[in-house]
Amino acid sequence: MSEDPSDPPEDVVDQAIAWMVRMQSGEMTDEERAKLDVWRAADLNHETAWLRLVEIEGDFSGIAPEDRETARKTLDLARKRNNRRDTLKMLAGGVASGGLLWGASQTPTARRFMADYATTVGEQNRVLLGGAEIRLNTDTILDVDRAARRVRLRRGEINVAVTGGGVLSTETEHGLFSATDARFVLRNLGEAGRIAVIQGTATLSPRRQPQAVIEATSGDSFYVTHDDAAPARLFERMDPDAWLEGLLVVRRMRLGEVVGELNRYRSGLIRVAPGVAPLEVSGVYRLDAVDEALGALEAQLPVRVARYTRFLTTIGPI
Amino acid sequence: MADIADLYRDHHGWLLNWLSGRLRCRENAADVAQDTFVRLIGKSDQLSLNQPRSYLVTIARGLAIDLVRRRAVEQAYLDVLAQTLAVVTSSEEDRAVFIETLARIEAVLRELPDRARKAFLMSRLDGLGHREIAAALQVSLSTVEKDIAKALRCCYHARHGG
Repeated sequence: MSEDPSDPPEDVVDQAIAWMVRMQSGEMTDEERAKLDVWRAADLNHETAWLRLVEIEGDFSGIAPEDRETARKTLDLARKRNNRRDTLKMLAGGVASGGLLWGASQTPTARRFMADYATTVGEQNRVLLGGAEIRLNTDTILDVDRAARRVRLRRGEINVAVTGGGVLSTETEHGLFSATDARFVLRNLGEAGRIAVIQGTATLSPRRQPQAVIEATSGDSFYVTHDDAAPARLFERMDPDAWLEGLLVVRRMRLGEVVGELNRYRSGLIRVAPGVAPLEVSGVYRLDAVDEALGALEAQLPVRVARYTRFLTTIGPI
Repeated sequence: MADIADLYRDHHGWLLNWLSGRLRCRENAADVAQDTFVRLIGKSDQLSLNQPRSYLVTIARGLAIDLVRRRAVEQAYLDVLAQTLAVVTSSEEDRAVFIETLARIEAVLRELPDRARKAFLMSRLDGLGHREIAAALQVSLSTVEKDIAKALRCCYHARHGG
């Protein structure tokens, strides 16, 4: 469109913009208004540029006053997320790029050895790495450095089973998790990494406290932040590796948390009203049938499930 | 000169793979791959390029970025709605139109620096006059006016090229 000869020249666009700024300032006088009318009528290009600006203003004036706050918050949130969205960075990266960046210290040569693995929402995958098997849960991104036997969980969750071939190092941005003969589940929660050891022994350390190594054995679970580690007591509430069987197994877990888990396996938002979020529930739910699971929760608890669109489901009191 | 059917046969699988790896959603990747080839129909002069894949990726990347950003607006809207705990009274159609409008605004303001974007939205969505915006942002009135002019220029060129 930029080459269209009917486009007003740039200086005319600038003049139209100056008029629009004046008009929207809230201080335009009647005299100025009359001058604007004269300017618009003087040249077809003036009027074209002006009408295009009016059309742009239409997007804003078309939003009802009561919706403006929602509009403002939505735009701010979308911008914040888009600015740090990995998907957008990856898309912008170009054809030659090997994918995700490991870290600033990584040399291009080292990066070449890395392969990226990813699953989409609801998908699982498997990676083999000499003596180790890594299973990727839903919505997960994993960088693998085969030569160094090191993997980085950038997002999501993995089940790591290592039985030979030496130490396998796994990491999130929060810390390091290593084992030579163990099975554990590692999750990147965004604000922290979380490990749950199913069998054997694994060691973990916060990224900024590499000397503070903690040994975790079967049945242990920890949250790890950049500076700290704390017990997560995860096994009391759920079977951390039940997703390998396509199941969610919970014991006296809060409804808000259960729904948070289920929501990982299907796109769209499930909103839980604050009043019912603390209700505790125990059960076994199938991850490939989240709507069925919601139906089961509705039968178990005094809650009502309402579906608005494919993007929005709410759970509230009866 | 390559025919679009040849191009599709030779590169569709590859493009789908490229997009799947980046979008992490097979369904979205399939949509974008499809749209990419649709865009090529009627542009047969472009198909004789030596590097059809980099040409395909250029188009696909633009479409994919638009899709991801649009979805982000949808998701942000739902999250804002969830936070406000407001009763959803508007019809599904009204909401679709609303999201469409926001996606369009998001797209045109994409490249705008933070302060200019803020000043512009304070003017158009919060209904503030330029002096009030200047006071709120602690900048001069002429800075606000320059910022708003910059925002309008950004909107104009996003819609009409140049």
